[in-house]
Amino acid sequence: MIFGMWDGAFFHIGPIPVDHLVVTEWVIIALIGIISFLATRDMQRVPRGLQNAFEAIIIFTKDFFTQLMDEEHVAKKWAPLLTAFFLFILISNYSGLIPGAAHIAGFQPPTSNWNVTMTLAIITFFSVHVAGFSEHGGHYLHHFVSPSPLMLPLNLVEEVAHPLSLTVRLFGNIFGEEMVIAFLLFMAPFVVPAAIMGLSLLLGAIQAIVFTILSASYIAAAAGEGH
Amino acid sequence: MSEKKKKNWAKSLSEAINLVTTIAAAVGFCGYGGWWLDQKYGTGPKFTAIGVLLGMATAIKVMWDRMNAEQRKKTDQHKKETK
Repeated sequence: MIFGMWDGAFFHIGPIPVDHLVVTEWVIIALIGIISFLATRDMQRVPRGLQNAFEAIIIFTKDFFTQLMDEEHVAKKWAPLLTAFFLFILISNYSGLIPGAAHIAGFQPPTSNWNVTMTLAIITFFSVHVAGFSEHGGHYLHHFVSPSPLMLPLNLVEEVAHPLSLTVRLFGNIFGEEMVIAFLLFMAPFVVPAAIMGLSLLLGAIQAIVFTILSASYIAAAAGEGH
Repeated sequence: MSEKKKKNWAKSLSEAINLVTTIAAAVGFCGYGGWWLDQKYGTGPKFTAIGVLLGMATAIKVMWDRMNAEQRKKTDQHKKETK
């Protein structure tokens, strides 16, 4: 394994190798999909059970992103993607805390691989520009040469720095945390790793929140009046 | 006041993290890009220095933008309060 890259194939679909982390991602996506399906398959006017919980989550996230992004219509448009980011990253981060996960290849958190975090950051990158163009049309390009055309290189570096910082921070935190847990499990397998695993619960949630909030603020900045 | 503070915590957190990580990523990205070019063309530290300077200039620009945005926000708030 080199720098967070898993090189072993779990199985092949034709010529395409599918590794353990991809399977873990599919399981996480399926889990979110199944719970969402169960919550919405028989919707009632007066919500109960899972539907009630989901409605509470949706109202909370809509309000949260509206406050964060200032514009309600922008928040309404992008809240589903941002909420999906949050749930996917949160469950991915926690998948490494399943007992024995450090010894089973398939249970390593997908977010401890930079290919996964970079993919999420690239989705954010394109979402930012889609939001910018959909709100401002061709005029959106003007912000690349604002306040002066001389600033073009700096503005371009800033645009690249955003997904790069999202990628490296999430990958670095989760990969580092996994390494610490693996090291502790190797040195003292009982009780000792529990403390860092408890801390991982907090760190996993913080990293999911930070990634989501930053994605929301980049989208809000592109869609906002500043451009 | 406390309600307002409570509502803005996410925004303040995102702005703080955004500023710090963008600065770090800009300097890191440009510095690494320069170092890679130096390795490829054997040009010594020239591109690394240019890259680091470009990254630092971006960092200053990001901070300047943030400062202006805060200043605008304060001015707008002041105008609203004096009306």
